[in-house]
Amino acid sequence: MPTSTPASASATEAAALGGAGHARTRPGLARLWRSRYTLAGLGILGALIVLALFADQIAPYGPNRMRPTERLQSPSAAHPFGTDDLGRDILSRAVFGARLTLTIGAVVVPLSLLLGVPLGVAAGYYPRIDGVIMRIVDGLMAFPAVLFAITLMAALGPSVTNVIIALSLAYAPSAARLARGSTLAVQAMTYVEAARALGVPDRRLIVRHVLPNIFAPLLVLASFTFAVSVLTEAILSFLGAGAPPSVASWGTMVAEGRNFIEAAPWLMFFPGCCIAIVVMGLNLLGDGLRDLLDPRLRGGFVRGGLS
Amino acid sequence: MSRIGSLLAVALGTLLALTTIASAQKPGGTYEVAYDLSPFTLDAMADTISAKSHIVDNVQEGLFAPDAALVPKPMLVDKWTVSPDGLTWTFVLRKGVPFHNGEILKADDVVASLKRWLVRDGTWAPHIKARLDSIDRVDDLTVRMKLTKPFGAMLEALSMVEGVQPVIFPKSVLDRYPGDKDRVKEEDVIGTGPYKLVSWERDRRIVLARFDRYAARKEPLSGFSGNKTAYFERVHHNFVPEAAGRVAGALTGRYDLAINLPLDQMAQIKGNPAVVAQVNPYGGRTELTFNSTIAPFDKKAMRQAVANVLEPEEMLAAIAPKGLYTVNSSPFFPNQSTWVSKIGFETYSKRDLKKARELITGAGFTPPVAITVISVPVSLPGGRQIQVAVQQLDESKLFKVDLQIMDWTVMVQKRWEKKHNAMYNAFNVWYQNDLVAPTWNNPQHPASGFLVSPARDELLERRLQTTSAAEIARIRDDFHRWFWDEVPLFPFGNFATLDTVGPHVKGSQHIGGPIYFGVWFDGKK
Amino acid sequence: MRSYLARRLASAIPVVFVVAIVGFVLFRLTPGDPAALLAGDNASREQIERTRQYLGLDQPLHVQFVRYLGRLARADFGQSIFLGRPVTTAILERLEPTVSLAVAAEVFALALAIPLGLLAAVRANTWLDQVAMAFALAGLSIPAFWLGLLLVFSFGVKLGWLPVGEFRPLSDGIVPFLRHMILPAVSLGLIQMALTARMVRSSMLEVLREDYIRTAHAKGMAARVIVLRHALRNALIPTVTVIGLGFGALVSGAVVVETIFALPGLGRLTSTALLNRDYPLIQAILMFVAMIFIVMNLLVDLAYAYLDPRLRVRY
Repeated sequence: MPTSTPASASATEAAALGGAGHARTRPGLARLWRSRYTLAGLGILGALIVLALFADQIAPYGPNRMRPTERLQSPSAAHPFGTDDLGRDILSRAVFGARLTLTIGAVVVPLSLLLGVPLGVAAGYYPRIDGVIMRIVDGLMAFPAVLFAITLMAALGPSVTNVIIALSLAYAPSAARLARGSTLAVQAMTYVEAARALGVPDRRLIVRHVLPNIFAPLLVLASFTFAVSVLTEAILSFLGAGAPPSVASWGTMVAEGRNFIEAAPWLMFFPGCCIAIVVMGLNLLGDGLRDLLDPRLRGGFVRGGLS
Repeated sequence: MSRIGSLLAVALGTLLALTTIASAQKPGGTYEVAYDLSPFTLDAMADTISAKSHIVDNVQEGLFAPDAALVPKPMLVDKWTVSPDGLTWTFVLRKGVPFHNGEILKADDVVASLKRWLVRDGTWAPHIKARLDSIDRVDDLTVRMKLTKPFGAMLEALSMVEGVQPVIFPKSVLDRYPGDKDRVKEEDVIGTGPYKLVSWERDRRIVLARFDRYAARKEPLSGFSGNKTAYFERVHHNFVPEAAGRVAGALTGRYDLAINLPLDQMAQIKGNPAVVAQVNPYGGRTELTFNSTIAPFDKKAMRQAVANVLEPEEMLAAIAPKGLYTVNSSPFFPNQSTWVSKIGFETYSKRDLKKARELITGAGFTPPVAITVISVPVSLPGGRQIQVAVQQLDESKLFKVDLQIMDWTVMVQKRWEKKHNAMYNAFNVWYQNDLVAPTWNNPQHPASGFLVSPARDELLERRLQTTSAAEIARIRDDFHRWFWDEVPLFPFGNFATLDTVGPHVKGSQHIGGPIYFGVWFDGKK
Repeated sequence: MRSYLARRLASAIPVVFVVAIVGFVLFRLTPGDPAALLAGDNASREQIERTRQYLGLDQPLHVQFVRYLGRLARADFGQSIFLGRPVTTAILERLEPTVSLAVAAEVFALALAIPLGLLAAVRANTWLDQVAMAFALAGLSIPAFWLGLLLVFSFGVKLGWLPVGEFRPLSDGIVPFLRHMILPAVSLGLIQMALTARMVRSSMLEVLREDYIRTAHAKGMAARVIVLRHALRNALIPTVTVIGLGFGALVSGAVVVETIFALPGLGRLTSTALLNRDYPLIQAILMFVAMIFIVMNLLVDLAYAYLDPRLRVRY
């Protein structure tokens, strides 16, 4: 059943194709290229982590150090990314923006999985509650994540915590769906049927057979969820419904730069690049992971029409 | 003036008039405007939103209107008299002034409109109502107002072009909206003005058409008074909320007038032959208002302390490039000659941390004093700069600020709760026409910080009683002395607002809101 | 089939209902006073109170809720606080720009994605494939709002080739419509294009490996015929999923794109309604969006079943 986020799109892509047989048709050289991209993705994620953890040391100035006399300076030695209209150093803000980005991703991803997976597995495993759970999940998915998040943020007010809550709730349904799909698929396997018939306790079956099988696609989903939550947080901050202005966020920086497109395009340019690079890296990672875990994925799924 | 003098004046005047006519005010054309915010209603008396006033000012008129120096001049009134005791005001209306719907202006229309205005206005009406005995029609063209106490600001009150406006509707229209919460629908926005309202396509544009039978006054156009003849056939008042869109449209010639462009575009605009910059140097303002109902700012000394810490020039420099801001210690605008004053400039412009510390400890507090500041959304011009003021306060080590930035709907709610210590506001307002009018002098309104002061009340009462220019000047000075002693709020100063017009647009003046009368196209578009 | 449809639609109703309730409760219980905003900055306490009465917001919450339900039962969705007109009118007025934008974005996305994905699949693992997929990856990663601003700046302001900041309906003529729609459609459609291109490629690759393709090849059918007539059709089936999926991204993206390009559409209406706490409008929009989504999902499922006969058995 279709889901409504690009993250789930990619994951469903994965599900639907059972791997598309990249491994089979690809000559060895191309495989190396693929893994090169995955490495690039990993590298970008690594850089993000380093920037986030060591922002205080790496950034030349504080993110909110305002010097109005130095406003709107184009990139120079003192300010490699220039300054904004309040005289803040854009490079420093970009570095601290990495911290926010990592925080959001690092919490939203596990939280959404934590919320969604148990629900999905339960739905897949126990057909009686399947209907109820899936109706709720459907209800939540009757909403594009961004709209859902904007609504929540408008009501709750801007804060990083609220952004995390909103995004986790928005992406939990995708995890639930994926978990349910995998669970159903695993269940359909003869050996599992047999084990069940023999009376093996449910918990053992879930832990021993279902979870290991859904681990791979969930990892892929995690990567794409990270990517899409970075994008969504940027959109929220851009609309003013995200992190408060005192927190350096790439989305807020692009929003602030909006009025200065002509006079000072660097305000908008650098943070936008940051967003694009990180999202690209995470997508690469997700792609790579999916290819790597190919053999496990192949044959594990029914094509998209599972309802 | 001597007779020769007056003859010369007439000759000169005629010569000038001839030369202006020679520069050909050509009627015709459609004026394409890029405006930013949508109004909520076009009922002049329903709210105080500028986006509404800017349309109303082109479509409807009041008894008086301000000229370029913000001095009230007669508009729909032909002549008026005040009785020697100041208690009876008699207004004689101009004859034969048509409304857009064909009716002719009569006293009944004025009485009905003013009565409606008195119910809805919160600025002048409370003062008038407090001393109003009656307001009636004497004959078809004469209206009389009887008061119980003199009211010196009558002309100022009746010439408002912002806020809840005392514009004149036909009585036949107002009869259809009897409830005091009713909002006039756009098809009933009927006035005597040079343009009539054709349509309002929500979020897209408002269309105005020239009112061919407009009864223009004969005096030369000045501000909102005088000869307001419309030259354009139509005006398309488009809503383009994104600044980049307005800029792009202005530079490509899509819009003849683009309002409220980012100040930092100034350099690009100056160099571009496709547009002519129009700057209103005082169009914007920011201020920090203290909540005087709770500690610490219930103490005058603490408010004065903040005034000694804040550095207004740095704040202004964060909002606008040099030359586009003005340090101004008065809460009035620098061009408001009647009310602006430099008294208090010393305190305002100098940073004296030693004095501030003395004031704080003298008031019984230990620095750093923790305070909460609530602020408007950052999307407003000047909205983000509160962070600079907060940095100034924090770095002085005398205050520790908790800054809360919130949506408008939350802000307007919170400021009534009186739990904050200070409130930051930034707005584009060019028009605060008098001592009594501004909300920052109304102790019941959050913009005043709820400061109750018998000294100020006395000043306001003095103002309401007098029409003497000399006395007004004295009141002005007394007011500013009071202001910088009590410091109900800290005005950071003024910054400019920037509009652009196409090079073929003539007669456009920047007096705050976009005006469409007295403007014409010269040459090809 | 019919009973399936009926069941799906029936199960949609409680969802929409829940959405309406959540919308109602969420905003009235959180800070934010539309009456104060409506009355204006200089309004006095009593003016605000008068406005609140005018809006019916002075009643206790449960009274308001009952009134709301009552009106809903009569299919009366109320008046927008800030627009002063019925909510349904407000929404319908703004459908055209948003639908035009969504369709234009989708057309752009498909027009680019299908050839791109096809080419990449047919020339799998060559440089052409890499370039195409790199392009798709970039499209996936570039935020729509950033792209929109960059386009406004380059094409709108610097080059002045295309107009920005307004909407021309189709009734004004196809050329003005397109000129005003290109930049927003590209900004919005790029992500969709990227997702679809990738999907087409993977799906094509999978199909191309199928036995019947190999048979056709062995029988001597021309490659082009195979690809275009047989493979593509089957490869497009999962693509339908992505289109439906992407619809969500389109609607969300519309909020931002409409803001940047000043299109008077539903996205901007939503964002303004939320900001202003225009309760009746918010509630109605939420319900409307939920309904659209449910219908959209249903359509995609049906299309899927229709296109792939193997799945029809289930229904």
